[in-house]
Amino acid sequence: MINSKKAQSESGEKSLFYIVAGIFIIGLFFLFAYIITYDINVESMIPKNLEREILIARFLVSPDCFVYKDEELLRVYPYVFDKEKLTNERLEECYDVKQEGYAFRLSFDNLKEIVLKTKNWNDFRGSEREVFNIKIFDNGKFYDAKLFVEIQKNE
Amino acid sequence: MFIKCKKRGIFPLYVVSELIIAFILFFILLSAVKSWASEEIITKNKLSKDMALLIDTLYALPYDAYVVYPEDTSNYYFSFFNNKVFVKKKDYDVTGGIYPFIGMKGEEISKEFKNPKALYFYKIKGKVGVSDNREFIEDFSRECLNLKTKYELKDREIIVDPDENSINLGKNIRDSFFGVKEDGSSNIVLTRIFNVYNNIESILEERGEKVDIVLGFEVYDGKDILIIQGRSEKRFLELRRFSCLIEKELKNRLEGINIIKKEENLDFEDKVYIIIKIPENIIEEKEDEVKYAVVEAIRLYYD
Repeated sequence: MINSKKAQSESGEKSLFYIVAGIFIIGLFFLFAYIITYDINVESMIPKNLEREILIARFLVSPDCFVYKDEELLRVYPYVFDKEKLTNERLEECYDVKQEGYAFRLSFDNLKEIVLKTKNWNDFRGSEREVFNIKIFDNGKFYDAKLFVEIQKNE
Repeated sequence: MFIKCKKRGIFPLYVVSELIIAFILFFILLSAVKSWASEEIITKNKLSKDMALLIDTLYALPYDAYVVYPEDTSNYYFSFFNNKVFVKKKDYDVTGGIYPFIGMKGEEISKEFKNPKALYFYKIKGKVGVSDNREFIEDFSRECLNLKTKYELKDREIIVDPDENSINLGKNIRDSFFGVKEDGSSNIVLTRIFNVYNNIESILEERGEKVDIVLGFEVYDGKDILIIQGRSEKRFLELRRFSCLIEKELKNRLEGINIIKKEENLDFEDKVYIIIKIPENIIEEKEDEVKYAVVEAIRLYYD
């Protein structure tokens, strides 16, 4: 009888030990995983803002987005925006983003009626802003303008 | 249940089983940590990010281009689909690198490569893609811009500016165009005839707007043919087209000789100004081939 009680008590202690040890080991495992993943991310980190600057370049340089292209000479004019191309449909075509990744909102100082947003833009979140001096091409004429690019990063 | 030990008495079996479980757990954790901590996982991550950024950059480019990926790719599997780059060691690799890029609507890159010797990222005719086929890329690089000039050959003049060792080449090029103009003469104007030299500026002053192309020849002590094109903003597409045509024609006629294209700040911004540097041995042995290549390139340019 005494032996049986002792055995029961030992068995209870053992179960407790296994539970505590199990939690400890799993915790240790996740701690390792976290430290290593963190190290990997640090080692393969992209320089700050490089990715977003590359993505913004698409709006400033590529004729597939908004930049004016002389179809006769096949010449592209970086930083010159073709007013006819400034539509949300065009933005969605040239920047086919899913939910994650950078979101952008583009507006112009002297074209108040035009505001372009990528599909993943969230009006209720904060954003950073960059300003670029550009030109607008409209009906054969060029004029100076400022482009405001607002940026959100969706993880 | 107990195990009898010779020296220390009895040893409970559950201690043995606990030890075995502890060892198994230890080795599982060790192998997982080793796999995660290896440099390979960092390399896979770096490759996936680097390639995704490269694709994003190509989407931003205003013109066609290609990049020979500079890192060793032969140890990994690469997949490009759903606007993501996947880098794996083998088909099933839980520690593979994944990174997204932003594509264009209706232009899905869907490719897979297993241990490719090299990877080529390109934008050809506005479409971005990846290939492991060098020939495909070389075909593209030989394709010249299909750009129509506003002028006809007979209406324009070309200044050919040979150095002392390429006078004969210049003269032969001029002679190939006899009869092009309505009065039966050639539209090639030479800066150097025998020992008489007229500098380009004085010819331009006299002929002005009529002159479209300035083509210099220099013989030098080297192995490769160098095509040096100016950086004129006004004429840059024509410069690209003309230098491409010269390169293509030279390649067709001079097998096994390296042709290198360079850009430099040259004079005469409103002209298509190109200098061709030719190795001594080629001017001695294959002058005719060079002449035919240049004559054909000029004809194609105005075609």
